[in-house]
Amino acid sequence: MSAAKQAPRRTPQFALLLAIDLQMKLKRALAFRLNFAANLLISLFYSLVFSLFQFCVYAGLRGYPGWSAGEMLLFQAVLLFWTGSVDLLFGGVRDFIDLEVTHGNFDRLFVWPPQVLVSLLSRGTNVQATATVLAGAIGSGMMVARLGVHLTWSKALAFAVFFAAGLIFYLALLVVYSACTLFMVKMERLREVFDRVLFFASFPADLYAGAGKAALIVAFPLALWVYLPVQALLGRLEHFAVLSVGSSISLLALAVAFWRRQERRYVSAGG
Amino acid sequence: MRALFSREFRTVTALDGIDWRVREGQIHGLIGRNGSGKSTLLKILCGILHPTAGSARVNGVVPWADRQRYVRDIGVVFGQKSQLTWELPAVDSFYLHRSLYGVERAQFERTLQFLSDAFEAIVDRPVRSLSLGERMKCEIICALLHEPKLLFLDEPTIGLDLVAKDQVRRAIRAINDRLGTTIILTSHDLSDVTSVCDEISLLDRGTFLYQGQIHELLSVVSSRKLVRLTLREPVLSCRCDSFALVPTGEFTAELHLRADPISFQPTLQRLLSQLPVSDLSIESLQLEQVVGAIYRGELDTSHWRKAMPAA
Repeated sequence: MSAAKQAPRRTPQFALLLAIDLQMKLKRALAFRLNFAANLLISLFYSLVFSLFQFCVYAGLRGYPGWSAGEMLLFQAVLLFWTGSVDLLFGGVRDFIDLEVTHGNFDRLFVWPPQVLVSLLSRGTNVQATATVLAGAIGSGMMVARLGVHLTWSKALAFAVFFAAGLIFYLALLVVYSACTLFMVKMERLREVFDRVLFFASFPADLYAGAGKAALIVAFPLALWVYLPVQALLGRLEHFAVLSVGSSISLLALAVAFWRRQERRYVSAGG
Repeated sequence: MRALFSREFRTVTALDGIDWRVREGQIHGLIGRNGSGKSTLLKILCGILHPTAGSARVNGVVPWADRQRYVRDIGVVFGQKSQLTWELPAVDSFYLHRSLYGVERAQFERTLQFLSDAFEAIVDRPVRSLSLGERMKCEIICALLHEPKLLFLDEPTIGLDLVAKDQVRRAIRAINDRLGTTIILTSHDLSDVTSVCDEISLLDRGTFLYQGQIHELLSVVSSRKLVRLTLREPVLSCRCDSFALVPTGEFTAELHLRADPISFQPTLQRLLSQLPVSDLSIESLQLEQVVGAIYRGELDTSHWRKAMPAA
């Protein structure tokens, strides 16, 4: 118990905090095992049904121009993998900040050594999404094999880069949402708008012509979430797609600046 | 509907011209009514809020300017806000805390053992199954695991029964004695303050009404008596001018008297001889009554303020 002997302490990294939160959430989930198992199955069922439904609708309508049925299934599998991944890593962030700010518990993040934003973004993992991630990963792997895609290192790297950039863009939106919550407190319908915006990523950017497609790839790069990673796997990326990576990083930087401004103006709840 | 288009804002000065020093190693009580500015002061000192003006230095650091470095040396317990994960044993939250503060495992184990013994706490049962008292002990342990130099306790005994309160108070004393941790405690329960604090600050409407030793305030308590009178005639018809009587009913009144041997007895004799007294009781003042009198401005505190330390 002597302070004099203490070594300088390091602030934990974001990845470590995410891992710790996942571990805690898993322990919490296992405290109610039956509920956890049921939730896993139900979320897996919903994800699969939704993906298949979307596939059937668009296959019937010839909704994915220039996409074969196999490629559409690959798109749906990567979509499953994407939604599972963001849900696994950040699925609970919006609920967390909504609840904490409304009830005045958000103060506690200010008395922890990591940056408040880092603490916030690492508190929203959702272990229930594990099944969706696995299903998406397995489905994507199967479709890559069935389509006979020759998976080279460059394709895998491009997939990883666009997928990571997609996560960065998602984080940017999440940071803006969180910053708005700090001053608005209640976000109710705006939360719906956030979800509707995310929904646009469920379709290939080819559905939109010209400026619309360019906007989805560069200005507001929703295409990073599914479309561009799939195009990377299929080896048909357009050159300007690389701009989306820079765009996502820039948007995250802007979002963090906005957050910092709101953080300084945080007024806490009473008492 | 008007509120939808234009809102009226009122600027409230939560803290005004305050000057506060807390010595290292002491337990300092911060008391005040609801809305007096206690929580605002604590949140500024915890680095949560940025004040619009003024400065503060705790452990040599400006809390809000260098928050990440500063919070390594403080622990905070908000009595009404939990740091613990409800479904898991408290010890799991402690391990999260260890990671947040980057505490070495061996050191963490030693500290946890020491604190668990000092608080006689149950740390291996799910928090949801703990009593309020046990939960509060775990909250305090959690705030101390990184061995902070300064601990803020915001209403740590709120909702606790007498036994649990006593346990928490003893543990606070033990931590202060054995680790030398400076503790700032806010509470609406004045018995918390009198039982553990060395010094006390009384905050009201954003300014300090009193800062000093707890025994100075207690000496006010012992130096004053509350005399309750029941009269045979209505109070308003009696000749009460020469006494600072406060009517409490048609036939009842009370007054505060200094308990010094020179004036107390003669004043009582004068009362009995000049007024139609049918019954009389003499009570010692409670600390709550003194603090209440200060809030209401019935007690002159100007001589205390002169004695307050300069910035």
